[in-house]
Formats: sequence, structure tokens, C-alpha cells
Amino acid sequence: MFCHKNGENRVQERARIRNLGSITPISDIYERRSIISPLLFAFPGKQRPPRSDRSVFTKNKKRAAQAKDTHTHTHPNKPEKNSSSTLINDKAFSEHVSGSGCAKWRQQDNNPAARRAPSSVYLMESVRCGAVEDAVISPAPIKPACLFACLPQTVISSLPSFSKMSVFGPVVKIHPVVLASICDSYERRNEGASRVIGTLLGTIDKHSIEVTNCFSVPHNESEDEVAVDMEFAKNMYELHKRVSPTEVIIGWYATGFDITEHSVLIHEYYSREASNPIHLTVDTALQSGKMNIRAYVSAQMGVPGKTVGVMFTPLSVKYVYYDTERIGVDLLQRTRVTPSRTKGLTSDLSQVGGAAARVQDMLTTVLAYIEDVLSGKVTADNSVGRFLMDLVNKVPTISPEDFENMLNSNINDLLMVTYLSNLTQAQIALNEKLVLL
Amino acid sequence: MASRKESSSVSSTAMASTGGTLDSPVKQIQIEGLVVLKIIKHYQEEGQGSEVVQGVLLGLVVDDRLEITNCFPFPQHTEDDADFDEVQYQMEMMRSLRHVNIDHLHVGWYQSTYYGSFVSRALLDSQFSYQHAIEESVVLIYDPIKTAQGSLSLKAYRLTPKLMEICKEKDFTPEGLKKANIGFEQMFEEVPIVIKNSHLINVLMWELEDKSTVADKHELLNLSSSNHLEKSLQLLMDRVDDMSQDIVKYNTYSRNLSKQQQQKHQYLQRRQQENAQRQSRGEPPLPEEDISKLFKPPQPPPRMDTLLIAGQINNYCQNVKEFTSQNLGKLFMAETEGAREMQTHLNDAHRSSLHFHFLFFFL
Repeated sequence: MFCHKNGENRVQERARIRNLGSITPISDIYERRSIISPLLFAFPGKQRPPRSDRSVFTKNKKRAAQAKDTHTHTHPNKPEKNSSSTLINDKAFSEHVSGSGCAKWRQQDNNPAARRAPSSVYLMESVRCGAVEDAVISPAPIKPACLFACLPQTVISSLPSFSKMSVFGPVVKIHPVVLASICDSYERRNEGASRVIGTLLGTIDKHSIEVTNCFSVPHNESEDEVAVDMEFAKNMYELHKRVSPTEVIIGWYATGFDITEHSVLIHEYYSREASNPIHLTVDTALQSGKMNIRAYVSAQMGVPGKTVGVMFTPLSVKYVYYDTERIGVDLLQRTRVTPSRTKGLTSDLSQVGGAAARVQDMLTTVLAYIEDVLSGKVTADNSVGRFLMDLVNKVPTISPEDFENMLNSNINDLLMVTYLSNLTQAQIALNEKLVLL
Repeated sequence: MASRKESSSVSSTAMASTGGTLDSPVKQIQIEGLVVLKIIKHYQEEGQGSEVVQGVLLGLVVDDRLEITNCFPFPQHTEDDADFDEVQYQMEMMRSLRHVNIDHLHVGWYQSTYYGSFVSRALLDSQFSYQHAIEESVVLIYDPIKTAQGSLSLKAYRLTPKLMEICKEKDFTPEGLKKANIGFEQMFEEVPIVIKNSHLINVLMWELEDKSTVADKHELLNLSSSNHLEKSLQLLMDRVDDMSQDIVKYNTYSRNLSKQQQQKHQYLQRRQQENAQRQSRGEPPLPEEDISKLFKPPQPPPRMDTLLIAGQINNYCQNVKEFTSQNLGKLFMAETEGAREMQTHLNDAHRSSLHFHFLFFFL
């Protein structure tokens, strides 16, 4: 606590902190000097109650608890730390500073006040503990909007610099069949389950991960524990591999908006099945009015040896389609308009008519734009102009007679084929009648 | 009975007229978008090499509608999977799907097709066994090549009751078929398909439309048709060859039969004459010989294959006609544009040529 500092220093320190100005809540909290959970420390968001004893585990969780190496999960034999460890305990703080990983940071400024500059201090929360165990100082260059394990998405995205953060890692390409499958399994979930999880299958490339298939896995989730039916998952994967041997487990999905603590556990399981699994969340409850589809990859963070955490970094998501998929999706899009959500498959000529109508719409739009530009209503955009130039140049220059000839010969071909097929049909009908005589 | 001649338009109005006469338990099929996507994906990924990909449809029957809510694919038959047990795979899959609350009732199967060639003995047998076990089952035929040309081509077929009868009795002789009075048009009946999506999937569709930046593909307005026509005609020719061979066989059979009849007749006559003569001479008549042993009737060729081939040819012709009608429409559209272009090109080159050129852009 800063209580033992003399007042003058405190004032200086406060001024300096204010000037650094990255995350204001921190400075406020400095002033308040209260015992707040570190989550609140960094972001005014959800306050997590301190977890006490978690003796109920599934098999995996026990393993996780015992394996204290990489991830910090709950340390059930250290509950006393929760109560006593408050915020930046000065002693613990100095321990850390002297301890590991912050040589660079220390070099920056030897001023003890600056040492506590909030722009460089992030408290890593252990995944399930509600309070910090140790203050961990991460290397300075991370922007303030860097991620914490299990932070609610709303809070993160409310930070201004979040959206500008560069995304590392491969691009995730999703096929629509996966999303439709996820929605369908969400609709069919068991009573009382708030979300559904499942495995993602696909292929991994150097720069991208392509998700082409998925299946849901039954699981039970409650306040304290998570039980996932792993044999089922393995079984299903075997069955799927029979059909498409090239698909591998590349990650898992969950419906819902947040990344919860259970997600970390499940993610750890999947990291045993696949190297560097991705995690996909599909917000089927439409929490923010839209169905947010995000993908994450997990990364270690923190101070090795001391407290480490798991960070979920978002990846950019793209939707890819095969050609035929594109056409299928187009057809499905049309079910949105009818009130009964149904759509019959149309006959061929009307499809051509429909496509022609769409082209006509596009033409009118473009023509309207050109009109506007010509009459000065809209400023001309060079790139659009270039596109139009390309468009006009794409048409091959054919003399009208040649064009007529081509068209006519094509029409003749088609007519002949129609005649032949009619003839054939008449022939086989005749043949049949003759046989029946 | 919905004959396949009328199946060129799958719109509900046309089917309603024939649907009223459908005496089958299934009058309409309702498919979820998810099933469509899965079938497309299955073919795309696994079907490039071999001809057909197959899978199982799951769903349930509601009133006179067959709702298909999910599907799963079947692995290909490969040589190195000698110990692969299809039934076991199917059972395991269905058991697992039941765990996650997916409908596990078997209601049919799907198959991809190559240019419309699916009328075969194998399909008939499979569909017969399905329909025998589950009355409302259908086979969905997915045509990927036609789909790639711009419009989803998914058709559902069932065997007509007449054909079911015949298959049950396994009587494929011409007499049997004559009795049943079945023609190639009454083999399959087509059931209209409707696609239905749940609300959540609709939300997903909106989302995809929002986010995806893939430009609309205008394959449908593609004017080049020769490749597709060539292949279709090639297949048609093959079938017609098969058919002609079959016809030749049947002709020889019928000729043999008639010749034999003649011979029998002659023999009988001679016998009678001789008997008459003998009687007139007072000798005992010759014993009646068993005619059937003397003149063994020739084996009638099975007519089932002919029926199948005829059905297949019919299907090809149907497809070709649909295709040509589409293309004719497109060509006429382009032609009018071309004519207009000639006239107005001199008047206002810039404006009208843009109009015309835009149309061609999408070729």
C-alpha cells in the first residue's frame, strides 16, 4: 500500500500517473486505495467473487490442477492468498521487480514512482481465482489494450485501442456449413444447457486455417465444473475421418458471447488433440443484436515460472465458399423473405429470368451513378471510373454480322438438340408400346 | 402419378395438379438449409474422383410432409477397406447423433449424379429396399454440374407403387411387365421440394450476407453451352446404343418365338394329317408327343434393363431440353441486345454501349 509514503511523493506520483494517462481507472484506483479485485483494477467491469474451494473436478480438471506448470488454474491449497493479496502490495511488487523478466522495463526509469506506471503494469489474473496471487509485470511494449485471460468481451471491445490492434496468427476461413451446423446444434441443445460446444474439423495451411466441418459434443456445465464427453468426441472424429480423411481436428467451438473459465479448460483439452487449436465463438443468443462470430487462438502469457496465464488472441475470420456452396447459400438466402421461411426450387427458365433481373438492377444502379457524376451531383471516384473502364474494355469487338452468325449458329445447335431429344423420347415411347402389343 | 414428363417444372402449381393424384404417403419434402449445404460440401470435397457420393438422410414425417433435418455422408468404397462394415458405421453414427438430439430416424438417402445418369439397377435396388423398409423414404439426387452452372439442382424421387410391386415379385419378363402395364415414365415419381430454414439460420444468413465480400457469381447467365451439351449428348448416345442392342436382342427373341410357334403349328398340322391318314387306313394313331419338349420356348430376355435404359434416356432428354430452353432464353436476350446495339451504336455510342457491354460483362 502506499500509505507509508510521505504525502509529497504521493502527489508527485499521482501527477505522473495522470500524465501517463493510459488507463484512467487505474489512477483512480490508486487514489482510492481500496482492496479491489484485479479485474476491477484494470477495467471497470465484472467483479468476480473469490473462488474458495473447488473440490469437485472432472478428470481433466484434476489433471489441470495438479499440473501447475504452464497454466495457472486454481490452486486449491492456497486459499489464504486470496484474502491477503490485495493489489499492489508493495513488498510483493518489489519482489517481482527484482525478480524476473522486467529488465528492460526497469531500465526505462529508475524512479520508483514511474515503476508503477500503469501503462506498464498489468495484473494477470489466474484463471479461476478471483483475486490476484502475484502481480506480474509484463514487458512494456504491449499496448494498453492487451488482453487478459477470461475478460468479458464487452469490456475489451469498449477500449478504444482494441479495434486497431493488429492481429497475429493465421486467418480463419469458415465455410457456411459449419455455422449452419452450429446453429442447428444450438437449437437442439438439452434443457438447461446454456451453450453448446463441439469440435471443429478442417485443414491447416501455412497462413490460414480452413474450417470445413464440425460436430457437437455433449457436455455438462455448471457453476463449478465442466464435464465433456471425450470418448464421444473421439468416436465421432473417427467416423468422420472415414469419410474425409484429410480433415483433422483444428479446434473447437462454443456458442455464446464470452470466453468463460471453463473454456480455458476445454481449450487445454483440445490443445492435446491438435497443436495450437483455435476457438470459435458464435453468439447465438444475439447478445449485441448481431450474431458475432469470432475466432481465437490461445497464447501463453505472463512470467514463466511464476504466474502465467492464458490469453486468447482474436483472429480474423473470413467466410469462404466453394462455387456450388455459393449458389446453395444464395438459394437459402431467399428463404429470408418469405414469411413462412420456405422456398421452392424454381424451374430453369424462371431462374434465368431472375438472374437477368438482378443484372438489370445492377445496371440501373451503375447508370444512376454515372448520371449523377455527369450532372455533377456526386464527385467522381477514380477507382470506380477505372472499374468502368475495365468493364467497357472487356467486351470483345465483334462486327455485327459475325455476332449475328454466332448467335444464329448457337441457336441452331440448341434447336437441333432439342429436336433430337424429342425424337428419341418419341422413339422409346413407341418401342415400349410395340413391346406391349 | 406424377409422370416425369411433367417434372420439368418443379413449381408447386404444376405439382399440385399431379400431387393430388399421388397416392403415396409423401406429397412434399421439406429440407433444411443445413442438409443442402452438407450435401454440397460432401460432393465438393470427396466426389471429384469417383462418380457418386452417397449419404443418409435423417428426419421425420409430419402429416404428408417428409421433413429432412440432417444428413451424414457415407464413405467411399475403397479396396483397402475390406473389413469396413457399412452397417456398423451407420449404427454408430446414428447412435452418436442421437446423443446430441439430432433426429436419428432414417428417412432416405442421397446420391450425386453425373450429368443426370442415375437410373441404374443399383439405385433401383437400394431405393426398393429403403422403400420396402420405410414407406416414406426418398432418394435425393444432387446434380453438382448443373448446380455449378447457376441453379441448385436437387430432386427427390420415389418408386411408384407399380414398380414396387414388380420389384417385389421379381418378375421381369415381358409378360409380367405387360401385366403391370408399366412404362418407363411410370417408374419414378418426383416429389416437390421446399427449403425451410429456422429463424436462427435466417439470422445467420443475414450475417453472412453482411460480412461476406464474395461477389455474386453469375454463372447462370453464361452463354457457353457447347461443353455441357457435348457431354450430355455423348451419354445419350451411349445409352441409345445400349438400347438398340437390347432391342435387337428382343427382336431376335420375338422372331425366334414366332418361328417356333410356326414350327409348332406345322408340326401339329402334320400330326393331324398323319393321324387322319392313319385313321383312314385303319392304323392306330401316333402317340401324342409332348410338344413343349420338342420345342423348347426360347428364354425371354429380362425387360427390366430395357425399362431402366428407357428411363435413363428419358431423363437425359429431359435434361437436355431444360438446358436448351435455358440457353435459348439467354441467347435471345443477347440477340435483342445485339440488335439494339447495332441501331443505337451510331446514335449514342457511349451510353448504349455501356448498357450492352454490361450485359456481356457477365458472360
